[in-house]
Amino acid sequence: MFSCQKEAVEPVGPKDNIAYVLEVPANFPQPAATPDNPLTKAGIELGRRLFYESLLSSTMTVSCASCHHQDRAFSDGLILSNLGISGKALDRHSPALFNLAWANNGLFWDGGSKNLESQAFGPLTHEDEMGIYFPEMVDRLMAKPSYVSLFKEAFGENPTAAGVVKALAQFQRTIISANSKYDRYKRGDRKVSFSEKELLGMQLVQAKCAGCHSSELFTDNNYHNNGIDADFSDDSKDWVYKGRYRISYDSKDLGAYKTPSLRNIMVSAPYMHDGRFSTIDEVLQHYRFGIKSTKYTDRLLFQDNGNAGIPLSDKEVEAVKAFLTSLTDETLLSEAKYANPK
Amino acid sequence: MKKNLVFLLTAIAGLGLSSCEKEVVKEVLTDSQGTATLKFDARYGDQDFELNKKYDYKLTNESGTYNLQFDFNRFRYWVSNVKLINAAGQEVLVPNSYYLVEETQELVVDHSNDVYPATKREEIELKNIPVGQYKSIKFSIGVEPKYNDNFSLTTGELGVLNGMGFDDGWMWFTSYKFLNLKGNIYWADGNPNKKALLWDIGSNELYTGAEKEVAFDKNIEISGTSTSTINFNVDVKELLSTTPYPWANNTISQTTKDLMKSLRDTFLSKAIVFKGTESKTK
Repeated sequence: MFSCQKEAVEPVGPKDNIAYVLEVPANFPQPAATPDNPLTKAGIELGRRLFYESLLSSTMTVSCASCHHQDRAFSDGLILSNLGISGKALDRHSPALFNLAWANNGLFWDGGSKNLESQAFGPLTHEDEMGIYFPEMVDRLMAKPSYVSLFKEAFGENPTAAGVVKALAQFQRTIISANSKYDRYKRGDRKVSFSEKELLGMQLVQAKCAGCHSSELFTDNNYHNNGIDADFSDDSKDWVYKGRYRISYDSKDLGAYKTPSLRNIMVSAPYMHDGRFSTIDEVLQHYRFGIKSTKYTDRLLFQDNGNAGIPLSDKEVEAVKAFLTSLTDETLLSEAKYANPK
Repeated sequence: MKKNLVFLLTAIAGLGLSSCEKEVVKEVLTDSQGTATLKFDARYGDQDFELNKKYDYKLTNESGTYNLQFDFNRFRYWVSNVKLINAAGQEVLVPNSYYLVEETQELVVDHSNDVYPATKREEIELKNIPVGQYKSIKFSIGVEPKYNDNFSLTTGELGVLNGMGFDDGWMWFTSYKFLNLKGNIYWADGNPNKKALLWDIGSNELYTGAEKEVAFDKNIEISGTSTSTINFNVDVKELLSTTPYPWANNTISQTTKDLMKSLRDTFLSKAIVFKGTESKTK
């Protein structure tokens, strides 16, 4: 009789990895499918670990979380961070990160990056952010058995730069903010009541801000020149001061930047693409009285009489702020599944 | 009884005579696939193309005749989706066929600390081609939208580490450069008398219409025992004819979309010239 000795085959490939279905809040639209990088439990967990991993920077001191803090809705509270490896201040303010599964119209303030996977290449390699050389990054991950098995589980292969950005993208897509007081109110939670002030604020925001800060996402994920600048002639630094124009080469995009979400806005100061406004009061002051009118300023910011500005009384400003506070989602800010796994 | 006997015989056969099932590893059988070489010999008119060498260029346009000179420190382009058409007219796509053809000085990948070494590369080895006779070839210049729009997806030699990402690699715009020509233009009567030459092709729109088809003078044979070389000249002097005003249009890039298209079309139709094939036994 012949005996059959099967060679021991080391399990390779995501056989224990399971698909993860995003929990879409009832009042949100369906996010776009990502067939090139489907969500899996292992991919998300790896991405979360990598988000907090400072080995991904050349000096091993900076991770994504260095400039994206959970308790600030993943922004950093700084005007222009200088916490990258070089200590040099960046040219743009760190944006908040949540509800990115719906941000499919370009990433970065000017939308130059087409998807989260491609976006990560920017801060990972930039000499003033994480400045990593990819072959070095892969060597470091290969030297850690825990990472080797996490990559095998998530992607069925050893660590690669592509795997890093895919895992980071998966984790970020799971960061959802839809459990603020406003959301619970909208879902009919009887324990939640809105004051008259908050209700007035909600009506005002819907009437006067939703041209750009639209839908339950409180952003149209589009690009607008909101009149904070009048001069776009500065060509320096790869046209960083020209807004989306440097991506589209369309003159209507001069000085246009991405609409941020109003969700969690009260905990994610400062504001604008360069962090120039430190408080919501300054932002509302700008919209009431400070809009610079050029041919590039978005027409949504003009009244019927042709004047620039969004009229709000002092009382209405207080109501708006009260409503904006109801958009703060404590779950997002403290949820363990978004926190550092260590 | 008969039934039981059959069963018993089968059982015995099962125990003793069957061999173990081993996993059959699919190997590429060497007599069913072969290779071919694609050669892109950079030229300047009837001279060899070299970096940092001054070449004369007599320009004639509406305004007159001018004696310019050019030198180059970088000439790089992606050759992609190479297809060989066999004698029966069927297209065979060479798997993972993305190649960087180039002659360049050392370059620093922008906004990073990475240095890409000085490189000259004119030959491409096409692998895993089914044996047979082939009568023509198709290839594209540039990167198709699937890869142009997502840096995490790569194939063949495509990737962001070689400074062919947009703007030498700074990744604030998800896109590759399809072709990159850099150097200097010299005009003695100009003021200043020297300008930088920065000519790029890129963008998804320019991948449509980026394919060139060339029929061979005679069929080539690909087999386990013979290989072929397909020769092209790439004449940079022809490329300069993209515009009658190269001095004014010393920058061609995303801001000059019409010129970018002309550059692409000139490259495909005038600069790349088929020079014949050679076959030899291995």
